[in-house]
Amino acid sequence: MNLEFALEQPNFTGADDQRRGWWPMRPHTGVFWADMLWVVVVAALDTHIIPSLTSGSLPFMLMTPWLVVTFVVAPMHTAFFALLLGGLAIETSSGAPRGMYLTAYWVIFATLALCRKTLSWRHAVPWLVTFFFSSFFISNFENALIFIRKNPEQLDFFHFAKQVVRVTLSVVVGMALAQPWMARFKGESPSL
Amino acid sequence: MSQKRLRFWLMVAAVFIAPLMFFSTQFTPWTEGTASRTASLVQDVSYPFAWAWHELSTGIENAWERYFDLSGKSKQNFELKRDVTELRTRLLDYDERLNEVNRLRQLLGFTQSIPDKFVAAEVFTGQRSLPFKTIRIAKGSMDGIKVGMPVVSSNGIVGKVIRAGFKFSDVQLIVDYDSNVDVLVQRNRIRGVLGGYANESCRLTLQRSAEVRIGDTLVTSGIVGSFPKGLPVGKVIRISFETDNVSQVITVEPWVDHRRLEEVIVLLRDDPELSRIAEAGGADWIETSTNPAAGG
Repeated sequence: MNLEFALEQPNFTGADDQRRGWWPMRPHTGVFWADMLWVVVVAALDTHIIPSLTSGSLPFMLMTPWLVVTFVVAPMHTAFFALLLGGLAIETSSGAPRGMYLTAYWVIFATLALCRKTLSWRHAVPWLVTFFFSSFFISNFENALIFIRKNPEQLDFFHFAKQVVRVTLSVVVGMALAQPWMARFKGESPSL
Repeated sequence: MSQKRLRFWLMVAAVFIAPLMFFSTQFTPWTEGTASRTASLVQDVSYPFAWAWHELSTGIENAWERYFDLSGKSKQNFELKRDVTELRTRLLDYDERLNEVNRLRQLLGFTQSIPDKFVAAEVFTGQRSLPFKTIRIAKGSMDGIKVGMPVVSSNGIVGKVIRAGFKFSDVQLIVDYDSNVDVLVQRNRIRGVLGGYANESCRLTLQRSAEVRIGDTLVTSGIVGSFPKGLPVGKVIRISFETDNVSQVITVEPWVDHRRLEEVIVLLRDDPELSRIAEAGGADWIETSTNPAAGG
């Protein structure tokens, strides 16, 4: 399928097939305010609850896979506001420079907006690749900042080992989050 | 060019332009100003969830420690009694010595190093999975906390306030990659700027001729920044010489273990340099100069 054809397709319909309602907690509920609420809850989980449970020793970021699923399955306006809310939540809870996560998530959002209709999301592989590259991109965005701002010696083996664990955990959690959408697309026609 | 194709190329351009725009900024975190206050509203919205979790987890932990986990309490009680006896012995002539020190300081024209006003705050949680090391404390602007105020614990300095919400504040730890503290080597008063480094440690670069030993204690200089003079910072754990034969890199382990912090003290003390600038240029001048968007 070429790109022009993909852009002419109607909106991604996977989300519309879903049962609407704010519960259970998932990346795209079909209710705008519920989606925003869950992004705020994910921010609280990411910045307070998970670090307090693991004493901050687990390098993990739930926000990235959550937003990636939202970017893929939710309507554009919902995905955009989720990006704003999620990016700001991470930036204003840490010492990260203003605009850093907003920029990184914007790049992922725009890329997925361009290619989400060209990929078959009923398969696991597109999800896997998307989660991997998104987490990898976020990690390297941070590394680039450290490289520019301070001595690159900080980017030592221990730092990269943590990044590998972080990317792996993000992919695993992302695959778990995307399961309902993979199952929903089993009936999709393979000859799109 | 069709409208769809134009939209496509605009999106592609945006993907490349956004990082360029970000990397051309000054990399300052959200601290003060209207934009920062608006952005921080997200934190005010998520605060109830974090608060509820904190209360729940603290309640369960307290209940467990007070009513179930009593096996170690007897031993702990014995050790505490022994410590109290030892400390009482030490305190016998403490008041006398304190008065003497105060008299001598007054004679020499020194002021007190620790300000009278401070706020004790509970540590809520920390953002340590990212490269940006911060903790959140349960006191905010309603308690008189402002951006830039120093934060200490009983073991030494912790960091400084970078953001103050209504009921919470974010503290940038001294191990954060963007943190800098003016320090002295306690033994020989060599001065340097200590920067945050990876793996919960800090780094200090000095001239090769500067005599520093493993185990030396670093204290705050009190010359630049808001930290009072003489507060313990950390100890030297590693010294490596650079290949340029000019400098040495000193790795410092902070006295405060940031992973185990439960309570901290915020010294209600403004950065003296910032205060002087604010006096000279007006309160709005700092905001305008550090955040051009706010000034228009």
